[in-house]
Amino acid sequence: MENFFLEETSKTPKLSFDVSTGKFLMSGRSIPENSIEFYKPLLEWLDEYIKKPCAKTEFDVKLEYFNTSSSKCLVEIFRRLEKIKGAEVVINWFYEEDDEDMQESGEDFKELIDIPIIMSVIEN
Amino acid sequence: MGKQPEKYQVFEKENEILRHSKDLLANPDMIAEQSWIKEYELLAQSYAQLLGEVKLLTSVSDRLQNKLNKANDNIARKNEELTQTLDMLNRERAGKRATTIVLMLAALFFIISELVIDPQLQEGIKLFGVSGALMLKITVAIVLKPLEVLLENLLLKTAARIKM
Repeated sequence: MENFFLEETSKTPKLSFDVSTGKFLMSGRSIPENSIEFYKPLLEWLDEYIKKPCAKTEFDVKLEYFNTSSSKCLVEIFRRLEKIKGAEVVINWFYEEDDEDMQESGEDFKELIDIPIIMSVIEN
Repeated sequence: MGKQPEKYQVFEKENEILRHSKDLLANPDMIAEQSWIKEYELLAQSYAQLLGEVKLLTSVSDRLQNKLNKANDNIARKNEELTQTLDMLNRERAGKRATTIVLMLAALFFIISELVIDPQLQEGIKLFGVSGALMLKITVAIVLKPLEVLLENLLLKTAARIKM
C-alpha cells in the first residue's frame, strides 16, 4: 500500500497520509467545487488502511477554513478511523489562537466522533 | 429514488440506509419476524448518528455564514474608505487645477494691467490720486481668491458628472 499525498491548492488542502508511520496530515483550506469527488480517493485509501493500520495513527488537522460539504467529508474520514480496533488513534485539531470558529468546529467534532480529539492552539 | 446529482453523493451511506429500510417496508417477508427489532435498532442508531451530523453541519454552516457576514461588512467599510479617499483626491486635484488657472489669469491680468491699464491709471492718478489707483489694484488681487473657489467648484462638478 502506498502513501497518500496531495499538494495544497488555493481551494484544497494538503493531504499527507503516511502508511508506514501512521502520521496523517491535512492542512490549508478545504473549499473544493465538489468535495466528495476530491475526498473519495482518500476515503477509498482509508478503507484499505484500516484493514491493517499502524500501532498508532496520529492525524493532524490544521485547517484554516472548510465548507459545509467538506465538514461532512471530514466526518466520513473520522468515521473510517473510528473503525480501527486494537490500535491507538488520535486526532490533533489545530486552530489559530484568535480563530474561535475553528476551535468551536473542533469541539463539535469532539462531541460527535468516538476518537480522542486533542485541541491544540497555534500561537500567532 | 432517481439518480441524485454528484454533490449529494456525500450522503451515499444515508441514502443506502433509507433505500434498505424502504425495501424492507415494501417487502416485509424479506426478513424473519424477530429480525425486525434488530433492523429497527440499526435504523435508530443511524438516525442518532445522522442527527449528530446534522447538528454539526448546521453549526459549521452558521459559522461560515457569520464569517461571510464579517467579510461583507469589512468589504463595505473598505469601500466606504476608498470612496472617501477618492473624493479627497478629486478635490485635491480640482484645487490644484483651479490654483494653476488662477495663477495664469493673475499673470495675464498683470500683463494686461502693465500694458493697458497702467497707462490709463496714470491718467486716473491725475483724477483719483495714488491711493485710488492702489485700491483698484488691491480689488483685482482680492477678486482672485473667490475666482479660485468658483473654479474649484466648477471642476468638482464636472468631475462628478464624468464619474456618473
